[in-house]
Amino acid sequence: MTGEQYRNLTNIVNANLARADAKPVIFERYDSLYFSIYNFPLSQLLLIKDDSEFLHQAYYKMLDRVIEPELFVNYLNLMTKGSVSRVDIINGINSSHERKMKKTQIDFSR
Amino acid sequence: MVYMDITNYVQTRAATGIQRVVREILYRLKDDYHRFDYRVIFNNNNDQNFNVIDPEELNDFLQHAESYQFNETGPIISLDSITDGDIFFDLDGVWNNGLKRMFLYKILKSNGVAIFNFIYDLVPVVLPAYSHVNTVRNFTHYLNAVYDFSDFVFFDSRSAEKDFIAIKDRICNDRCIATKVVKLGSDVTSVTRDISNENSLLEKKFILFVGTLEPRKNQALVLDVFEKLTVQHDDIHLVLVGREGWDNTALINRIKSHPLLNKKIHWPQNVTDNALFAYYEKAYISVYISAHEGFGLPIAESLKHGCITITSKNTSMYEVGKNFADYLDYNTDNELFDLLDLYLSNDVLYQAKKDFIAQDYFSYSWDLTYESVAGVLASVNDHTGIEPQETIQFVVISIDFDSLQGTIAAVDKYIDFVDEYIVVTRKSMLTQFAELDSKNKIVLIDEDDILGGYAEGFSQRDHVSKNWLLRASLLNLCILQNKFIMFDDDNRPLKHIPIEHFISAGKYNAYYFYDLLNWHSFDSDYDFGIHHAKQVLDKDGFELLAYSSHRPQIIDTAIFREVVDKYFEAGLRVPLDEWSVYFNYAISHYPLLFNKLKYDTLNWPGRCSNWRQDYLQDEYNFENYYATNTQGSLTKKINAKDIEIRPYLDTAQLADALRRTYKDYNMVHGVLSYPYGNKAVYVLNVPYLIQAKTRSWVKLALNYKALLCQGCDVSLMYYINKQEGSATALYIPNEFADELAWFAISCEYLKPGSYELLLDVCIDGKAVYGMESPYMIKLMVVE
Repeated sequence: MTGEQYRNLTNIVNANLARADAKPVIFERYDSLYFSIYNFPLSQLLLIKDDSEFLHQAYYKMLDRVIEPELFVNYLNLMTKGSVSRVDIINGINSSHERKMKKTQIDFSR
Repeated sequence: MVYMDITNYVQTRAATGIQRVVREILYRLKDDYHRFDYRVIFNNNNDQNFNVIDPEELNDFLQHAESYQFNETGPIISLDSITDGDIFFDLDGVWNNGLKRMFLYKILKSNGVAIFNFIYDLVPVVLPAYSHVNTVRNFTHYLNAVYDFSDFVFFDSRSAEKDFIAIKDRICNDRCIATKVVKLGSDVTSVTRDISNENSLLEKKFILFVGTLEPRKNQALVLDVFEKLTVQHDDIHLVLVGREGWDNTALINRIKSHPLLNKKIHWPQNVTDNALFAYYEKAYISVYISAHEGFGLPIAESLKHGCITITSKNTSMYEVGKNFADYLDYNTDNELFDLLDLYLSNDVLYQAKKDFIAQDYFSYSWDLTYESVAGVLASVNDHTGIEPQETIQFVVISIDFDSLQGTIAAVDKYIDFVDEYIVVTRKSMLTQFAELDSKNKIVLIDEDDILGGYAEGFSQRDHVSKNWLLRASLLNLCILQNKFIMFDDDNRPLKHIPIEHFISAGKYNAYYFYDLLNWHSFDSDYDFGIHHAKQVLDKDGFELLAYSSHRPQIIDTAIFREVVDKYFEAGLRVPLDEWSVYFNYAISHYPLLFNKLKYDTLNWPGRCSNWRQDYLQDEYNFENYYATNTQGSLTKKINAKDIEIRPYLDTAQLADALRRTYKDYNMVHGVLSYPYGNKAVYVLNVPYLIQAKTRSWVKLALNYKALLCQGCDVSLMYYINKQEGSATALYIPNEFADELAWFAISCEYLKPGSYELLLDVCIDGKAVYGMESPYMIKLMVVE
């Protein structure tokens, strides 16, 4: 059980995508794989240094899917400008109908 | 207790694909509660609990899956109640579930639960461009969890199993995960077979394509070809059955706006199982040319209805269609057009192929699928693992004193766990064999003593049948221990061999060298032994690997007795490769007792030109000894083999690199036709251009059909530089034959350069076209 195995696996997938001239997939962080999306610790999201990666991981863990490319660009611009914070994004997703339907949960105490 | 999570089936209520497998297994499971305890469960979007489906409720659910409402007050179990000794079996499409498997499996494993999985294909990893990005992400996550935690994985094809193993190697995962390939059924439970359909489409002559409309299934090529075909054959229609898939807007638009839609091209919606079967039964031909499959159920369903089926020769599809389907090797326009045109233009051939399918094709049943799965689940606790032991009997059958003496000397030198040698030989050779020299005890056995009544007429049997009979007769030896090493007199160790080569981690190691289905030689008794083993094993739904790896292998006497009980008579009638019969039976019945490993035998094949090596040895521990082998140190022997094999590997690489070019530029002959009086031979899958290294042989796996050629000597050959090149004999057992051959082209002594090869067929020594053959291959030989 190592992060290296997971990295190797995701590298294979992205190499196969490149061979078909397709875009790479941004995968989840290895250390987040052992947490449930029904009880995901907030600290795991806030520890992410890069805003771009934060957006991908927040969508994975709170909505169990990839973020739409246009929305990603839009959010990233707003975050760079300081118009939107990570807390705003987490609260926004948390109050969304989609999140409630999927019943995913962020554990705000961890 | 076996827990089966069917969350995905409960959510989607789908009746095709993976959910069809889940449904068919559950149908049989619900009435089989006496064999093992089970609970069918689903998760309701949380990480702690599962809803349990009561057995009676399961029955109602399966009968009315589309609309069934589960009892809200049914029992619920927590994760903690799945405990030590239980099995958690994921057979559904679980990767898109919210309860992620890295999280779930870690908890279950820490509670002592065994994890079992069923993997149907690895498309999202090996061809991710054909999957939605969410599926790619979820499946990759799931596959990582399987590699990390699974104890046992079922596959629906050897092809899927090979993908799994190849990726496991590439990501450097060295966990021991037992695996088993099971066949999927093509009968459907609870369908009333009423085809009295008022659908007027069924009265037309139509080509049928069943499959989700998505890029991987390649319907666009069928449309391209159909547009041309309908010009020549104006009575033919195309029926597409399948829902709209992902990423196929262009194809959907093309169909919806096609001028022939609802005239010649038809896309019926909401096709039920009943209607689907009616389409199969009435179709003129069905086509299924996917780029990648885990199994390919439409191929099995089509053939089961006696329909001529054109499919792709990639991944699992040959495992399903075998010689009954027709194949495109490169998914090109030429191949598909010519094959369809051939059948549409030749009623005799069409009928011969239909008869061939109707008479000889056998389909797997869901009962067989269920047994293959349930048998493993029911017997998990029966096997505590193979006990390690310090010494083992070595058993050999030989009539070659010198070869055996050399092998015994090598075994004595490199193997230190020989309990004794049991040597079975002819009565006339006993005196000479008494001179065998060894540091270990040798027990000589007169073959007549163990053959009993079968000694009479024994000498008239072929080599393979003799081996079968003698090996089976070993069971008459009262001194035979409960496990032993079986070897041939030319199987020599090359280095120190620890006992872990044969028993490791509580399991027997079984060494394979080929896939039985891919063996296309028909020259020797050995070849026929392989083919017959394939036939008897396949009828029983067992795995199909070739284990006559020309190295010693460990045999469990009790299992061997089961094999002999089951197949003894078959081995008397036809040559049977006893190694493959034993191991495939044993592994299919007791998969938890065996590790399947790639072979490690030097000089098997003796020459690289003998056959195309689908599996390359990672190391050499044994040698298939010939006096003509390179002699000397191990390093010298390995170097000699490396020098010999290098141009073959390069040639294989050149062939792989050209596949994309063939497809993109349609550089493949469609059908090569060789009419000869009332006889005819048709050859398929021949590219326009081949590249090869000098000092190698090209071995093209070509499909061929022969009409009324039984009893004739038929060979496929070529002319090069206005001279005859090599000829490959075609095996033609019946009035109509549909087979595969390794067409051999020698580049062994060709200088680098460009050559034109004219392909011809010889029937009873007479060339059909001679130097006027219209079929040419450009051969580029490189240094």
